[in-house]
Amino acid sequence: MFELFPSDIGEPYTLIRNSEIIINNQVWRIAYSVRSGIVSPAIRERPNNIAVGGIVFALLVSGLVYLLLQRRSRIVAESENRKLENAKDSMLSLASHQLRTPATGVKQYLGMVLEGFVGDITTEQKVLLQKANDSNERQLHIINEFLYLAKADAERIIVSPQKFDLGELVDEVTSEMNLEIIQAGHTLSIKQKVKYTPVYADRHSTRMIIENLLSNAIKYTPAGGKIIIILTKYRLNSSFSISDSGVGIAKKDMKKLFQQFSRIPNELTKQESGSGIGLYLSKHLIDLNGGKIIVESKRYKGSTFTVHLPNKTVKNITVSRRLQG
Amino acid sequence: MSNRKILVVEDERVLNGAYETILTKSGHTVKVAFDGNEALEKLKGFKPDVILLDLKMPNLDGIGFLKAYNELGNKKSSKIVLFSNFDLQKEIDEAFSLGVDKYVLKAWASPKDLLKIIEDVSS
Repeated sequence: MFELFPSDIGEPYTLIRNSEIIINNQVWRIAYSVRSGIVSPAIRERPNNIAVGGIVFALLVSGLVYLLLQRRSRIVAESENRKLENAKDSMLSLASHQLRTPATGVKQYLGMVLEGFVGDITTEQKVLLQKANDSNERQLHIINEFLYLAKADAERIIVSPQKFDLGELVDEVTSEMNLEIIQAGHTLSIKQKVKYTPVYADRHSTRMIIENLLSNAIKYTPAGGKIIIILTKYRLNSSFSISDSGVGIAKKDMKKLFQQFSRIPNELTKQESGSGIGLYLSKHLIDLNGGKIIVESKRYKGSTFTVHLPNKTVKNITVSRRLQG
Repeated sequence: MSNRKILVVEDERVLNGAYETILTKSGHTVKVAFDGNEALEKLKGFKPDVILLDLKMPNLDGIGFLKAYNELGNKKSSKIVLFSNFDLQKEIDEAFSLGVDKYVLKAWASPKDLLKIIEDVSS
């Protein structure tokens, strides 16, 4: 490849190195030259086009392969997630079915006796059977709360909003819980500023929210207390507030109020049963329905929980919406 | 409430018996079945006003019954109340698409509630 030429040979050869050597007192100049345009120093330093093209091609191919592999693993992961979610749904629904069924049986037979399907019973018998019935109802309520909690954690609560009268639902729930209110020695008054308080929300979850807040008001108010429910209609929503003359909540405990499994210590916590998930669940259900909850409380004076629910279709909850967080 | 003809389809014997007693004592004419297949058999000689249908049953479940019932050309000749403790949204939606008129979670209905459901759906 290298040839020996005089240093001044010129084009098409380029001198890349020369040196002198002495042989028999004669000075010889040795010039290493190469043909210009083939392997000149400048060309040697320039990257080879074919090599660059090869590298770019290899990068493109490996990039494409990487993207394809990523896409495939995402599809596989999504499919696995879907399978897992469906399995969770089925498991939760099966658990709910199995847990509810025996208690449903108890409810039917106690109900038949209590509701007079098999003749009269004495007052004493009625009191005892009512206690059994209340206990069974509580069990059903707990089963339901825990199943909702499991569904909430799995982001699987579906709400189906519909338009209904909030006042009518409050009447329904309060009449069902009236016995509980009377037994606790409280008085309940319902104040409705307008006749019709429409909401666009999931009826079943709204019922759960009212039941939970009213149950708390009953439990955390010493005997002989006052519970007031006020229904109000606004331009974009309707609200209900449940006020009690109970033990109230200390300012420092307010932030724990909607936390899972948190029970706020007070004079009545020990004697009242509670799962510590009622308010957590209520808050989630309110969020799911596009509503909000406001709490005002003063220790030893009482608490007011106000729930606002939209009265029109809210974007994103027109058909169903999953629980977020 | 006027007398109604009711078919109770429920695999749990305790519940099946309870619903039969409640409805019979309230003056309704009641026939019972313990799965979807038996319900289809009972329908051969009985045209109920209301079918009280459980969802999870052996042999032929509620969804299977509804498909077979619709194939018989019986669609809408009876009101169908899906009466189940199973609350998987997907299956409930499917049941509605197959002609169910009302879904009630069994655990929430006392005997009096059951009578009201029958009255509401059949009036």
